[in-house]
Amino acid sequence: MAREKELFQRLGITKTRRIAACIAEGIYILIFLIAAVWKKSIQVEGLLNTGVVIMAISLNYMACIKNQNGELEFSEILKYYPVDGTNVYKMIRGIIVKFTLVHWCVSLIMVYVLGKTEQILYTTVVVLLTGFFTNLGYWIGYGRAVKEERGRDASFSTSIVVCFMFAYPVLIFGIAACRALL
Amino acid sequence: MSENTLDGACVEKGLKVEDFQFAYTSVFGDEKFAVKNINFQMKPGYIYGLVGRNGAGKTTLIESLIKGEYMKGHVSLNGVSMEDSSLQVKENLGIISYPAKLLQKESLQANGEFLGAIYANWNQQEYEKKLKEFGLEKKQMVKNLSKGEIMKAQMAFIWGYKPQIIIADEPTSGLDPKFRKIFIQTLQEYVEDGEHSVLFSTHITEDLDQVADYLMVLHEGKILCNGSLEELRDYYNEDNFSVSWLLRKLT
Repeated sequence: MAREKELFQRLGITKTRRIAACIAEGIYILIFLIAAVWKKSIQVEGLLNTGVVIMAISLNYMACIKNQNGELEFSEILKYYPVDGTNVYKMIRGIIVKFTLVHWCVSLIMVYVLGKTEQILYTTVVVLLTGFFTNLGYWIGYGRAVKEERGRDASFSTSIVVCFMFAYPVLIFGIAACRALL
Repeated sequence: MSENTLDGACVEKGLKVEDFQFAYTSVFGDEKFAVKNINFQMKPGYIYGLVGRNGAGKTTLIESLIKGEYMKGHVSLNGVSMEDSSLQVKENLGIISYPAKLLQKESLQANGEFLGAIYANWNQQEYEKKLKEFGLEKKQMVKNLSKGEIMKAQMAFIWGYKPQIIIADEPTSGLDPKFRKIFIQTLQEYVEDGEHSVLFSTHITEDLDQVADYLMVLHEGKILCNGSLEELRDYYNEDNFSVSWLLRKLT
């Protein structure tokens, strides 16, 4: 396993990056808590958040398992090299799954513990931050490994998800902010 | 050619493939053999040609051999078996094929730094020097390279760690005539020191007429003929003898 760990490190999945990803997740939770305590409620958006996270997990599995365009996946390439690619791939997938599941569980718990109301502004803020920190976590935490695992199809699908997560909330947030200010 | 190990045992140098078999398995569990009963040896200092019709199993043989994924048989390099120490064997194998076994969304330089560095004796400077010699920029992304450029990049990659065995699957496909000549010359230089060997699979049989020392003809997953070009030439005693002629005759 020594050579796999070395490759893992070289791909950017270092301890520092994983800590950074956890910190990003922590900041997300903190903002979520502040919003909840301040307004004493949490959006039903938790379901939306959950849906996004499930989609993120699915996309990562899609990217890891299948590449529709004939491009060699990262784990497939490693079979030609003197390194146990299966182990490296499992390490990457394991971290992505754990990170996403923790994020999902925390979100769900907070939604149901803190209650639900219809407040568009906080829906927007939380969804925006969810998307931002989830992706930040991925890119900080998994570096090039994740970039290589994503096949062209998955990247395209991810782009749609990211647009949905950012563009729509930004639009709603913008409208709400304008209304609040005017 | 053999060498003595520390305990005095005699180890045959080179690649040895015995009773090699690879089959595709359908969703119903049926096995369809792509290659069967493959036996050959590659001694250092020679270029081995591999020819066959489309669908003969050349690429399947090469890919399953390099990956160490086969159903039955025994593969060893310098006495070290693939079944026991696949990583040690792969350390001395290099492949040139399409698609490239490189990270598509990284630059050529980054591929050296990530994948090349897996090899114990990787030399990034040699690799980048060869890239430049072949007219490639180290900052170019692999996914933006043409087929010919990919072959050049892989050849340069091999120069970074100089494996004992190069296995090349249609390496001159996509190369312009000028570079094809350089490429063939490079392969010849590679084996000149008597320490390296090349397995050269191609449909361009004229290339093999020029450089191959030995020839294997694969047909429907089995080796029909395996021997030195010189012996085959003498055996068939044909004025128009060539690899192409032999392939037409046997298949």
